[in-house]
Amino acid sequence: MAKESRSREVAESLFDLFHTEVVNTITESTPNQDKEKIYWRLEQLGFRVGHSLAERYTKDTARYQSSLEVVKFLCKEFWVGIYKKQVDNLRTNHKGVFVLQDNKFRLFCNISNSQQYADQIHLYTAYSCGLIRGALANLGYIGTVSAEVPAMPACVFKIHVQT
Amino acid sequence: MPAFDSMFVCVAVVGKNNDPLFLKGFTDEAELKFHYIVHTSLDVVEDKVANSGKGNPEMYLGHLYSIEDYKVYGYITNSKNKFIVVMKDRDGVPKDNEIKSFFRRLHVVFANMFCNPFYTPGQPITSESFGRTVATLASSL
Repeated sequence: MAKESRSREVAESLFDLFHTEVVNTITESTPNQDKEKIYWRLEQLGFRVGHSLAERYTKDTARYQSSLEVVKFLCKEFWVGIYKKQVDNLRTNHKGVFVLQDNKFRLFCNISNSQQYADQIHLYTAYSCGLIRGALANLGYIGTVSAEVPAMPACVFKIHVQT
Repeated sequence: MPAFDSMFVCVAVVGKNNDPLFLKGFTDEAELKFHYIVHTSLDVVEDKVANSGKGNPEMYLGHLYSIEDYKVYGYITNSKNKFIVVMKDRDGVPKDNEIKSFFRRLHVVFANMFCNPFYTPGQPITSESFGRTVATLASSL
C-alpha cells in the first residue's frame, strides 16, 4: 500500500506571481502613488516575515556570536530556505558594512532582462530588503538594508549594521 | 515515562529584553513564586551566555541553579528568547537528554507560534493553543 506523502507541496511560481501582484496592489492603493510610502509598506511586509523566518531557520543552528556569523547565516541557510540558492558573493569591510551579491536573484528570473523598466525594478527589491532587515533585527542586529540592481537578473544588497 | 509523573512544575518563556512572555505553573503554587524563581534565573542565564566564549555554543544552557527543592534549567535561542523550566527535585534525576529534547520541541512550538501573523513579537503570548501544547508537552515527560 503506497504511503501518502504527508508534506504538502506548492508550485514555486505562485510566490513570484503573488509578489508581483502585491507590489501592484500596494502601488495602486497608496494615495498619490508616493514611491517612498510604497517602498516602506513593502519593506514592512518583508520585515515581519523575515523576523519570523529567522526564528524558524535558526532553530537547528548553533548560536551566533558576531554580526559576521549572522550575515553568513543569512547568505547560506536563510537564502537557501527562501530562494533555493546561496548568495553568490559576500564582501565586508569588517566595520558593519556587508555587501551581498546574488547573480541570479530568484524574484527577477521571470522578469525580462531588458533595460526598459530598470527604474521600476526598485520596488521589487523592497520586500527582500525587508526580509533581510527583519531577520537581522530578530537576531539582535539593527541595521539598514538597501538594494541595487546593476544588471538584471543580478541584485546587490548592502547592509549597514549598527555596532 | 511514568516514573517521572510530570516533573515540570513551571515552564516560562522570556523575551529578548528579559520581559516575561509566557509563564505556566503546573502545581497549585501561586504563580508569583514562579515569576520570582524565573526572574532570578535570568542573571544566571546572562552569566552563562557571557561566559560561553569562543567555540560553538549550544542553545541548551543546562542546569542554572537550585532553590528550595526546585531545579531550574535554561535554553536560549538565537533570537535571544529564553525558555526556563522549573522542576521538582525528586529522587529520579532527569536525564539531560530528555530535558534537551523537551526544549527542542518547545522551540518548534514557539517558532510555529511566532510565525502566526496574529502574534506581535515582543507581546505576551496569549495564544490558547500554545498554552495547551506546552501543557501536553510538559505532562508527556
